[in-house]
Amino acid sequence: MPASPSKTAQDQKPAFVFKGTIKRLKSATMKGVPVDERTVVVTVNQIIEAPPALADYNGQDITVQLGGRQKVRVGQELIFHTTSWIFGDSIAVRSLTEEPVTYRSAAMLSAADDPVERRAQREKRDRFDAADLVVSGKVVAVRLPAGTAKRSGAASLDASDRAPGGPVSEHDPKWREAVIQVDEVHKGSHKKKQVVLRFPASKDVMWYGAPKFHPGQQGFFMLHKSKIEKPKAKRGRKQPRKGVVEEAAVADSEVGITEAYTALDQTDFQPYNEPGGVKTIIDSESLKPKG
Amino acid sequence: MPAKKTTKKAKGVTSGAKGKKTVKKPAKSTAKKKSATGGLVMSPGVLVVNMIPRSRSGEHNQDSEPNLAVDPAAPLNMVGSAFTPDPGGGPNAPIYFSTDGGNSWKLNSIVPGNGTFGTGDITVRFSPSHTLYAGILRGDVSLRMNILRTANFTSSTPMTVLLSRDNVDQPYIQAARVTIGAVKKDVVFNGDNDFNSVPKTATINHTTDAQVAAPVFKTTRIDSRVPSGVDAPSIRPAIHSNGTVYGVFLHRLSASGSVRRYDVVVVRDDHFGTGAAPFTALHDPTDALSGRRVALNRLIPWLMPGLGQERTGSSLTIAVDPTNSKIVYIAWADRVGTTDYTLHVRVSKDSGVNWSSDCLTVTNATNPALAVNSVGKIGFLYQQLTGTTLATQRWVTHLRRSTDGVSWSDLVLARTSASTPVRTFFPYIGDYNHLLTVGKDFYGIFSASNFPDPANFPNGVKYQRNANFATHKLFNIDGATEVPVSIDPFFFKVTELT
Repeated sequence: MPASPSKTAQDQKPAFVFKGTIKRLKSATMKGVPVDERTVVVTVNQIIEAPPALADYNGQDITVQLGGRQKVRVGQELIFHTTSWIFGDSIAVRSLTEEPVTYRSAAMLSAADDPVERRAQREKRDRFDAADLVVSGKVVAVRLPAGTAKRSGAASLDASDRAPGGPVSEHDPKWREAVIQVDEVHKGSHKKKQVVLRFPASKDVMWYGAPKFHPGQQGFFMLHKSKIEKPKAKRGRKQPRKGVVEEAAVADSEVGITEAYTALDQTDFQPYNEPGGVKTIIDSESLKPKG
Repeated sequence: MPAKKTTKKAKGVTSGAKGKKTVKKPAKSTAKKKSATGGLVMSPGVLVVNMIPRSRSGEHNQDSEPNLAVDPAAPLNMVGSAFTPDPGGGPNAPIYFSTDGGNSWKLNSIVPGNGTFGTGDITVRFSPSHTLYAGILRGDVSLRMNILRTANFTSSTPMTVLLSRDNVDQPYIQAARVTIGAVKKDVVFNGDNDFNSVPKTATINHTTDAQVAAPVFKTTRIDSRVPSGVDAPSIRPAIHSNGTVYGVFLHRLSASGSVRRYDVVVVRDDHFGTGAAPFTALHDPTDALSGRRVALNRLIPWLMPGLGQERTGSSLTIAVDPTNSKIVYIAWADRVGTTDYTLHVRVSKDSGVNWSSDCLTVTNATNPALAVNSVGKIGFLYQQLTGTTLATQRWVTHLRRSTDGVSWSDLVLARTSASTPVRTFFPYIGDYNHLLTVGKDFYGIFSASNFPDPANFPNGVKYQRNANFATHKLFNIDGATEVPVSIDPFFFKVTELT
């Protein structure tokens, strides 16, 4: 079975950063929220970074569960680094840290960036940093992984079953391989003209969010080495021919797990015609002094 | 976006909060009256609530495959679940919770492992100790099962991981507080499909002391026969307070693509699974092996989609009568003709030894859920696809009830479009939903289209999110920006008056 993390937990990473003024102590903006010494009502003055669901709370009162131990007072203005907590008639967030509004934070506050875009860009930056290989190029073929092709020869990409008995779980990923003709390598090392990535063709809830690839797609690919199930070769049959493309690593035949490049996060592929995002990161990387 | 003072609300928009100082009191009765929010008349004894909170009025996720827990010792406290992502995109997925008997709901992100669509499969259950347990597949790692616990479902502290195991599918949890050796303890039984024991994958992980810091879980493979490949994903336990625990699963006989054949098998344990060979108390008269085969060689099509926009393949439920552990009901789905997906309800009145023929048969329906109340009345929740073309097809959510398993009442909770919205992923409305009882009352949850139309909810409905039932439109929190129709979870309570 697949064992590839589709996304690692981002523990203690703030999702909603804003400047706000403490309005009430030991209070909440809605019923049902547990209130203690560290629960306060805060007026949001300026959103710095936010997911779409929290992007429109400028000027609104929300509940904040303070994270630090510092004492706060009504009227105090702070920058809150928070994660989501309770959504009801109003919202409550959990603060990881609070910091005073200082000269150091002025640049962050004065930037005119869209808070949602700023967060999205940070997430793309995180994925870029975590990627083992970043290339730009074109998908030239999509195929079944070697060993899963049907006995009749040509692999049907619509086949819902990998094995004669079919998938054992409704969450079967239905792995496919996309062959990418590489235009340029932006991160990592790759000397071949092509690279293969595995992607789940499944429309199950577990895999739907992962990018699906088809021939002709062009753009930037952030590739991550992942451990995934290795199709077991059938006894007495010819082993899959070693192709012209380079696999990420050699399979571990004992445990049936192999390592392959994947692009499982929605942000791992960006078409050429989409502005910003990975392009901006690549540009900024190229400006960094070498060595 | 929260309503701003300068924002003019669209005429006729209803919402859960009319103003900051409005304090809603929990409804004392669900007798016919104007709903505070949905503007629809509720039938006597019936409460149906769209669980999306008002602050999430702008969401249009496919919040499918719901589950529900009601604290038996404090039934105003409830927790629901669905494929709902954390709105903040944080590391924890949300539960839905209510502290007013299901009249209002909030999200609390405390389930470890938020993914693109929240957690993976999730089921939730309360013990009367007020402890909430959950069986989940994490949303951030493929097929990693966690069994979770919290003593405070409104707190911001993530649920504690009691058990973590990889390569496991569809955890379905049950919990109870029982007396073992004169001591009250929480017992937890979690049915799951464990691919670490192929081919006998049908498994129950169980503990008789779930409240200790690090509970010890026993893993019992409940299929005594050798299946072809693996067992089906749905493995369901049912607990009786006298020590009887039933399990039901689908033993695979053969598989060729989407055409699969299964036996429906019931197992039983009489001592909360504490013996040397748990779940072997019930034997089949034909082969003498443990596990009574209730139905043999049934064709169960694995189709995506197989019923409207929904997939088919593993629909199963079990319930034991709390007044008599010998009475146990099961329901499953299979194909009896050429294109159908048919639900069958059967009952045993001798602890699973002998079984009735179908006491209820429903064609083209899924998501069966059974529960028996404190006076032995059986409830059966399911969702039936009606209509012949995609444009006319409806998902009709029924609650059938019976005191004798022969005569059944029929309460239609929802009759919603099966074509709108267009499916985002499988499952469209869910591979399961849930029904339970506290005392005589039935509580349940289902997912369906949230298109705001009184005709879709013949016994009334209450929306927290902004909706206009006259114009059939959904609005964002500003009350003006239209929001597309999506799949939402709906809570219901049916009060038994007699």
